[in-house]
Amino acid sequence: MGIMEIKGVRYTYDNKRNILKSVHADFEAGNMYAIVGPSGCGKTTLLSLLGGLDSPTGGQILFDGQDIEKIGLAAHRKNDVAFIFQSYNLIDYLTPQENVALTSKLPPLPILERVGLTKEEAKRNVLKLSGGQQQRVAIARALASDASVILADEPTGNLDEDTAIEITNILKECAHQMNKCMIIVTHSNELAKQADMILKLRKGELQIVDASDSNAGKEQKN
Amino acid sequence: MNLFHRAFLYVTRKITKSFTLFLILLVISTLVLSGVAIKDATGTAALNVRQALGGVFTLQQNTDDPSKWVSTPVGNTGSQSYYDGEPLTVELAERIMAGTTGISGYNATYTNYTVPLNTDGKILELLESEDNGSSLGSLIAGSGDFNSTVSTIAATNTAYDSYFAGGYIELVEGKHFTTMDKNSAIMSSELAQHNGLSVGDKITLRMSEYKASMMGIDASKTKVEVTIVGLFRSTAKSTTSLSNWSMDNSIFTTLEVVKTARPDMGDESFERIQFYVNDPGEIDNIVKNVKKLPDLDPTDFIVSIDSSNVDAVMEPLANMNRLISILILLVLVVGAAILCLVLSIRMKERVHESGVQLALGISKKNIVAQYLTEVLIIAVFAFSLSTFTSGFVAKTAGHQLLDNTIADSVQSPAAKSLGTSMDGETFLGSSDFVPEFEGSNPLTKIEVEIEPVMVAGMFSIGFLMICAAVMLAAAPVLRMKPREILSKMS
Repeated sequence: MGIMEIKGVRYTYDNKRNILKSVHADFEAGNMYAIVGPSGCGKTTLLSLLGGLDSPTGGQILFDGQDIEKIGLAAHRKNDVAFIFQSYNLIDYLTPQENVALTSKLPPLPILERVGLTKEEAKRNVLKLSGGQQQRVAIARALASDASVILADEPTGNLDEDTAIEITNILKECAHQMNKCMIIVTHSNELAKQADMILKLRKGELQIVDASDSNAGKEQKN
Repeated sequence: MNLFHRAFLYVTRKITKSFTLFLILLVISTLVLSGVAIKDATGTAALNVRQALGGVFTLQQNTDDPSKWVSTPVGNTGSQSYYDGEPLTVELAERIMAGTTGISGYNATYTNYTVPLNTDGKILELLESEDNGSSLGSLIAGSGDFNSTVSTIAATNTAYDSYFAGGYIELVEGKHFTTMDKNSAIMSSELAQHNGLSVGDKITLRMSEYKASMMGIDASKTKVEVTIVGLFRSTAKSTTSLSNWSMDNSIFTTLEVVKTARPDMGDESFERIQFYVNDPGEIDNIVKNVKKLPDLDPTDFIVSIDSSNVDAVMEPLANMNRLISILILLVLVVGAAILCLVLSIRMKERVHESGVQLALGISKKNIVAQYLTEVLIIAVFAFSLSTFTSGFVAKTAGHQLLDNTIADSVQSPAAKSLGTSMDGETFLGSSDFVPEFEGSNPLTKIEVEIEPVMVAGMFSIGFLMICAAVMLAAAPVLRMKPREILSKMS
């Protein structure tokens, strides 16, 4: 049993459109997962359900064997998971250091340095940082929360190729060296290729794809 | 990082937004606090007005009651009627003073006219003034020395005289007189100057020869010498039916002097006695007590409490009080609406931040508490500063409003108070003037102050208003699921 488990999760928009029909998945700590699929297939919805931002129409999401509805979604968001967004979503009136300290259970500066920010950069206005630097702050904020699971929605979507590679490496490092369960929703094949496992969401179902298959063409039903 | 730290950082880093909110709260709190202070001052002004204008009642003979008149036969066919009720005397006034608590003083008056002469026996040169357009002037033309008569006011205590007390004339030199001061007189400084007279000089009063010849009296035997003890100056414009009866030609003296100069008065006594009470709020009870005095027949007198001057001031004050109450309410409602609108816009702008904080596990309550704390931090500074700004606004606006209200109301009755009856016998005698004591004018001593209790009230109401405004503004965010907020932000 993994740290996070999805059991027959369904999600319907306005009681009409079945975006997720019956999703099953098992996520383990120390691995990086990439969820791929066409636009509008429900990838971000699935990530929101895993992060406790919304409740599924049916089925269960378990964290460490416990239903997150029973844990409480706010408590689950606070203690078990951390988010990294495509548009970084840093709070603009706080410095990088303060953004990380927002929910930090750990000292922010060493974490910021670990993701590649200098001490000076850590005290600057976040809006004066480059996109790559802002995403590093977002990753540091996720790591500082000490959550076991990090949910990343298109973390390299707004970045140039070189910076995207750097960020991908950081995410991979976080999963492998810090024993985090990294679940990434992405359109990027390059990022997906770096994942330990690729999962494809199609027609409301999640399928495991061979991680070595960069085009995610070789599918295996979960 | 706790919510207070986040709130502090927001307030200090978003300077423009904080300053805008600071200004809005400063304006609202200044207007409210100023309004409350002015409203409070109108209450004080009303009390001052009551104390200054309200504490007087007048005693007059009940001559309208036919049962008080007694008719005696004169000769074979004629009859003579006289008033049989108790006359208005100093003894009566003293008896009322002794039997009633709460009366500070009184003045009894009687008005007639006499001819004033200097020590050389020459008639004083009188001051010319416009008459009120009556035909009396043309009627008495060629009536001998009648044109040289002046209004002669008998008083028991000129300090309590309604002209002096009302502020229509003021003592500029010398002193007031009482019944203890025999053969004293007070005249206008202008008339004195016109005739080369000053305080301490003597003049003579006598009956008009024209009138005396009609009555079969020798006018030379009515002469009575008086000493000028004081000089007055008119502060309000007045009109009379005869130029020589103007206020500036008038002479105040004692009843004994008038009786000597006017032997035709007979047994007549004072026309009225005005009593001044210490606490105007008690005036009704004091009048009741006067009427209950055992050695006094209440049917002999008409006791009236003249409240026209009080009403003239109290009504605009009450209107102003109502207007300010409405304005305070309006400022509170409009202020709350503006605050709610501004905070709603701010909250919409911060949906992104709210979504991020929710995604990070910060609860909705905690987020709203942070927003509330931010506004409260700004409010503390705005409200504190408003205690100074409102002090200035309240004093400036309050004095302007109150002074105008009271001045208009007090001055308006002055002109109509001065008048005369056409028979020429009771000039300037029966008007009820506003009492305002020498050297003290409480109406001009209105203090518009910001009291600590007002500041405490404003802080309480302000904080409640802010709480309500923040809750209303945050309601849409509070109702949304975190994912809805996040989808709005994306």
